Amino acid sequence: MAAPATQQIKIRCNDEKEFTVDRDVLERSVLIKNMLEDVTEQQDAPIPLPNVSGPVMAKVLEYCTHHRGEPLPSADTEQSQDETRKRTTDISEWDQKFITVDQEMLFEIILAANYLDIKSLLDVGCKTVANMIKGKTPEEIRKLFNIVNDFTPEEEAQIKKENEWAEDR
Amino acid sequence: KNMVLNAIHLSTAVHSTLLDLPTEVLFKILQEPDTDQAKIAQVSRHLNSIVTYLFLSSKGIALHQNTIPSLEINISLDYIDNCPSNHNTPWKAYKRALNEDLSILATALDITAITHLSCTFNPISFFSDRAYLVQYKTQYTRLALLIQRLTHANKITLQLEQANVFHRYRSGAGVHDTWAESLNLLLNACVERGCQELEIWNGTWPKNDFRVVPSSNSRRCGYGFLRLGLVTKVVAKVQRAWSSDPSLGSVTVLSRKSKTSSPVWKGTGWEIEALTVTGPRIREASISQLASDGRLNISRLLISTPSLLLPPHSHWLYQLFNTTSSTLTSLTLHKIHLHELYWEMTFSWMMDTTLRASLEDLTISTCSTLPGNPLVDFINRMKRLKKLTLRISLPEFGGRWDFASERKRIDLPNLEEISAPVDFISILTSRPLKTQEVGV
Repeated sequence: MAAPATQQIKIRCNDEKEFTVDRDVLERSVLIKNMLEDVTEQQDAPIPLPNVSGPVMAKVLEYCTHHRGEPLPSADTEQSQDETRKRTTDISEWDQKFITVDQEMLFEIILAANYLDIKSLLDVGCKTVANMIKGKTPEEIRKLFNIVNDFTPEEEAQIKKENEWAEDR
Repeated sequence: KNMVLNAIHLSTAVHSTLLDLPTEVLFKILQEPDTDQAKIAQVSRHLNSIVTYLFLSSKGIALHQNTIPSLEINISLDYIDNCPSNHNTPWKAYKRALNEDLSILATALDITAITHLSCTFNPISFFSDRAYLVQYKTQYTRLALLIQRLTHANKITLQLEQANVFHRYRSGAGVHDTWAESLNLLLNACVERGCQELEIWNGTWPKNDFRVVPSSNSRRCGYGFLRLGLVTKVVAKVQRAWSSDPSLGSVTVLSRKSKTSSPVWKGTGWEIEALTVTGPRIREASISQLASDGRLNISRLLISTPSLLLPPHSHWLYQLFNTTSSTLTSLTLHKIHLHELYWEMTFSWMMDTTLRASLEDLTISTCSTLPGNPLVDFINRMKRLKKLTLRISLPEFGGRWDFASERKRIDLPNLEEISAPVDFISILTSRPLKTQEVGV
């Protein structure tokens, strides 16, 4: 039985930061939604979210508040959702502005969305990362994400040899 | 409930790089449309293994499998925008199709478990100019390099393109060269890899058979096949009347110096187990040289050039037979079309050679009629002949001697009259289109 939309829920992040949020906003997160449905009696104790820090949660809540009331993707719509995703990599204007953050925050948001199970936010994050990668050479990707090239020289030579036939230079 | 929540507790360390994302999130990112997985695979080992995993699982293969029994990949011969039509343009000018199987597989580090690789070349639909051949070269080369890495592959299936594109280029200089050279590279890679089985499907090879290619590149194209002696089984499926020609699997040429670019029959001191003589521009001197080389030890011979059987070339062949006939056990006259009269002449001079004492396996494939009685005479001279194979196809290959009157009948030798000790006769004719296997 769905609770009234005005119900306020308390959450506590890993840095002890607490938020009091409308239940329908929090229910954008499937993780929290399921938890709330499991709890029958009213609880005053805040829900602990040990994987999310205060600043990241604030961002996530900003997203959830903006998208409150939109239908949640159900298991049935997963298929068509995937198809929609294939057709377009577009991110809505608001989302785009929202996700324009530094890289560390971006990955934190993705992790939080993954943990809290907020599919639409995870999609936005993944699309953003995919867009960052697009059109870049392996070296540029390494630089962008601070990734160490851990191939042995032999492996690298071998991969290069095969792909130099396909380089678009 | 709180206990449940705490159980989902994960690391709270600060994540700041792409690689810190959980694998399932990386999967999601890599599967975004237009993501160039092949490029990402070149970034680091971790990403490489994730791309490989995604690729193999998309083919229904689990990465932990020790052997990958069979992997099918699609290779695009498509070329994308700004493709210049000048065939001299460097290959690098051509963009690669995104997420193409070959690109991903080429970057995968650990693919040695693949035992059977099956490749399908997808043709392009509208454009078929010289740039198309550039694609051939590019993709064949990339595939060749990949095959060289497949240390456990023992079977390779190549489905070359289906569309009948090549016939348009018969007259174009250099076109076949490019193609033949690329194909060679591919075949050589298969052979060098120690691949035991090579299956080739093709709908476009010119002139019905990949051994019969225009003269300018016959040796180049043949090169790959020369070395197929190392392959135990070749299944060539050519979508023509001769598709079941078994001689493709039995032609073996082993040469110590097979890497040389000169024609196989030129030069001395070669250890030739079997020989293929093909191409319309056989130089007399070459055969003459071969014939005069007493050290030759040829056991199988395939001839696919009609003119070789007629004067003046037949003179050199005559010599060759008499030089090597003590060892020559198998003779294939491959797709020779001659007028009946010339067949008679051929049989008569061949009968005079010492072939009659050594030949055990005779195969004649032709698209002209064979004179029944001279053929039987010829066969009956063979004192050791065990196996006789005849392939006669009239309507498919209307050769210059193939007059309408002749088309109506196929003269088969009267089997009753064969006195040679043959224990296997196989006759395939185009009319009726059935194989008649007759055990004698």
